[in-house]
Amino acid sequence: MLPPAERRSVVLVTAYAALSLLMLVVGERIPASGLRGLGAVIFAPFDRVAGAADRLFTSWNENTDLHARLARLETENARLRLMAAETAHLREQLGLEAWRGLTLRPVEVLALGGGDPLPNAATLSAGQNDGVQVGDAVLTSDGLIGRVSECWPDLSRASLITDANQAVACEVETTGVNGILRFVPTPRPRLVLSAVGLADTVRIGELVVTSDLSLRFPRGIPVGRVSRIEQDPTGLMQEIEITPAARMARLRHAFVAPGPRPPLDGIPRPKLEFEPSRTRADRARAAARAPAVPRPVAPDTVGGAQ
Amino acid sequence: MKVIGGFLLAALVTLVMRSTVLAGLAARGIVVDVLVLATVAWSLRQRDAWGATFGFVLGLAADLDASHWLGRHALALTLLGYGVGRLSNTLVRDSPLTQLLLLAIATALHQVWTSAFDASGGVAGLGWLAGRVVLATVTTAPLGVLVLLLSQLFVRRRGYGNASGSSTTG
Repeated sequence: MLPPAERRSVVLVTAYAALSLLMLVVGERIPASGLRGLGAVIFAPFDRVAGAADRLFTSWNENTDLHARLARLETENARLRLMAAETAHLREQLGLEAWRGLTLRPVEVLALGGGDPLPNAATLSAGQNDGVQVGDAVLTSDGLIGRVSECWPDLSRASLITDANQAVACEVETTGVNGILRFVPTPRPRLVLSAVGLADTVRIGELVVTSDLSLRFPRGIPVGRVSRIEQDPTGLMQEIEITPAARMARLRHAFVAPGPRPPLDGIPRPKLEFEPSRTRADRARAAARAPAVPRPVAPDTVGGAQ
Repeated sequence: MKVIGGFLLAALVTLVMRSTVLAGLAARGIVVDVLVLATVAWSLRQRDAWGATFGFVLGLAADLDASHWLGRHALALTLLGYGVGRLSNTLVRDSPLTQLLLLAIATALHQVWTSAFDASGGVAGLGWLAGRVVLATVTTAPLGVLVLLLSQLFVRRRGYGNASGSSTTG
C-alpha cells in the first residue's frame, strides 16, 4: 500500500495523463481560439517587455544597418518613381488598367510561437479595432511572412509561411513560372515551390513572388529566392527550394495588407480586392472590348493554394 | 501561497522566453527546450506532485499556442515532471552531474516524442529528426545546469538537497 502523499501524486498524474490523452484524441474539435486570445491578452504586456529588452540590445547595430539601407532605398526609389511614371504611361497606351498600391498597416510582432522547434505563428499588436481581419496578408519590408489566421479586438495571430498547413500560389518573377509554396518540416525544414513542370526554366537566385493566381495575397510580394532545384519524388515535377526573403529569425515589425474580402455571390475570384477601381468609362471601354461569346468560368487557384 | 506564486512566475517566465528570445534562436537553428528545462528544475525542487502539475500546465499552454495536437506537450511534460520529481527523492539533487543527466534524458525523451508528430518524411527524415534531438539535448542540458547553479547562487541558499530530503523549501 502506498503512503497517502504518494497515492495522491499517482492519482494526480493519472488524471493529468488521461486528460492529455483525451485532448490528443478530441483536441481538434475543441474551439481553442478564445483561449488563445485570452492567452495573447495576458501575455502581451510581458512579451512587450521581453521584446523591448531584446530591441534595446540590438538597436545600435540595426540603426547603422538601417541608415545604409535607407540611403540605398532612396536612390532606388527615385529610379523606380521614374519607371513607375513611364509604366503608367505605357499601360495607358496599351489599354491596361493601372496598378493599385497596397494599404499597409504597421504592426508590432509581440511573440512567436506555435511550431516546435521552428515558430510558425506570430502574435501581432493590432486587431479588429484597428481594421485587421482574418485573411489579411502579413509582410515585412523584405517580403511575405504569412497571413492573419485569428483576430481578437486588440490583437491578432498570424500563421507564418513556416506553417506546414499554409500554401501560397507563387510565381518566379522573371519568367512567370507558377508553383505552390509550402513549408516542408521533414526530412529537414525548408520552403519548397512545388507543382513546377520539368519543362519550366527556373534558375538559382531568381526571385519568387506571390502570384496573380493567389486568392489570398496581392500579386508581387517577394517571398524568397531559389536556392536549390531538384526533381520531386515522382520525377514529373521540379521541387524548388526557396530561401525566405523575410528574416524569420528577426521578426519584430511587420505590415498588414488587407486581403480579398469574400465576394457577395460566394464565388471566389483571384485578385478581387486588388483590381484597380474602375470608373464608369473604364467599364464601358472593357465592355466594348469584351468578346460577344460567353466566357468560360475561370478555374480556381492551382492545387488549392491560397 | 509562496509555492503558487513561484509556480505562476516560473511558468510565465518560461512561456515568455519561449515566445520571444528562444523563438528567435530556434529560427536560427539553436533549439533550447525551455519547457523541459523549467519542468525538470521545478520538479527537482518541488517533487513529483507539483512537478506533474507544473509540467501539465506548461505543456497545455504550449499546446494551445501550437494550434494542433492539443495535449502533446502536456502529456510528455506531466510524465517527465512526475518522473523527475520521484527520482529527486532518491538522487543527489544538487549534483551538477545528476542534473545534467536528468536534463539530457528528459530533453531527449521530450524531443523524440514531439518529433514523432512531425515525422512524415519517411526514413529520409530520421537523420534530421535525430540531429534535432541531439542538438536540443546538447544545448539544453548544460544550459539547464548553468541556470540551476545560477539560481542557487542567486537565492543564496541551497534550494536542492539530497535524497534524505534536506530541501529548504520542502
